[in-house]
Amino acid sequence: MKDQIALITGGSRGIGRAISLRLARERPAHIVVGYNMDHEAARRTVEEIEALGVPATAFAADVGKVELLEEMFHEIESRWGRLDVFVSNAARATFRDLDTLTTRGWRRTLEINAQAFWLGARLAAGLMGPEGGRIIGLSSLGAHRHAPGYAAMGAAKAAIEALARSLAVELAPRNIRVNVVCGGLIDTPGMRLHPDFDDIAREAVERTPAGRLGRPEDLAGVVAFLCSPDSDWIRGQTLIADGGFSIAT
Amino acid sequence: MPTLVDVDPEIRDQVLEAIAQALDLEVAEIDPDASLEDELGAESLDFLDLAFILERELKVRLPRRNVLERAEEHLGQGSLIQTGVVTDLGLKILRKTMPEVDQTRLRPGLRAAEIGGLLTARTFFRLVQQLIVAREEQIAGGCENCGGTLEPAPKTPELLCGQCGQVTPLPPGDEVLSGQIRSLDPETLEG
Repeated sequence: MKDQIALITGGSRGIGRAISLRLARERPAHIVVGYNMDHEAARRTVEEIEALGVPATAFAADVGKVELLEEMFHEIESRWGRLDVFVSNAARATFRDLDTLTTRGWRRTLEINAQAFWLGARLAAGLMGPEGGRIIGLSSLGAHRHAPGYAAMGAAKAAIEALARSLAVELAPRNIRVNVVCGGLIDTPGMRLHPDFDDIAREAVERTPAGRLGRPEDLAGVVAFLCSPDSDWIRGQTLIADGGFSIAT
Repeated sequence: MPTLVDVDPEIRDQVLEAIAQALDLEVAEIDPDASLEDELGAESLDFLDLAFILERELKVRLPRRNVLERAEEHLGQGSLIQTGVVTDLGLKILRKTMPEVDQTRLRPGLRAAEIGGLLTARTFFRLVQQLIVAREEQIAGGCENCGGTLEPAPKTPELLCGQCGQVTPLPPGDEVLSGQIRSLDPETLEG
């Protein structure tokens, strides 16, 4: 990734932090860490990236708001003039069953996740030069199967996977590769806040052939692969990285 | 009824605008005493939206933890919440620190998970005002490096020195409100 500029939204914590640090090992010219609220986490992640010898900047934005998402890309354009890698990782959702899901919760979940991927990809593509670039979305198994309270997020993640197929075809003439990484249950600080985390984790481990929970680094490695030339022939695909959970249950 | 804090009308209007934006409501639809969660339909996603808007528009850093989580740092784990229920001491702290809340809701047996339902627009009027006061105190102290004039950065939760350019984080909400908890009279609380 020499001389490249990379943006990772939701890049300060959990999976996004792992992606930021993993991509830093590929020595890009600069990493922009998009984040929403946790200023301290963003500051720490930027310091960790810089400790690896890669310049980094944190940028606070609500990716679900069109004007704020545009503002972030305008900032990137004004400071670096281009973008080479866009990882759309920021995620927030309302977790409700369909009969209690509100129209606002539905709309915001789709805006923050699916719309941010589509619009972010379009804005990112506009900053990618003749050598092309890479756009990567993050999905989850809830896009393919039922999970309690996951209706809106599952729909948003499914939209990301579908959008990636269209984007991959439409952006292929510009040598922009678009793919999605889909994870199972990942052990993150945020996931550990779930009141039933211990039970959920125990069940997931029992049903995962690899015999453990996923780690943020497991997905970060796949993202790094999709950012490398080794993956140039992969277009519009969703790569499932779940320790075998989805093929065993 | 505990004494309510006098709130600057401009802050009140800005907070109402932010709530209206986060909850897709008209300002006129917001009863300042209505529970944002139970009566105005706010859910966790909306509270994050509201926090983001307030931090960005009003140049403050909101606390990340609720009052009892902060207070337990000073008074000891388990002193304010036991098996998910707010203790008598926890209720006293809520009465002291959240005077705008309908005090009849601060009853024995209140569950910690119900604290979010206590929040009203008036809670945010008070909270934001406290944070703005803390910010202005920091600005009045001037730049630690050169004594120059500080002003809020346009896009980040920081203060910039107009003279030497030094960047200082805005006062974190958790620290500002922890100071309030530390200042409570322990004898009054325990009594």
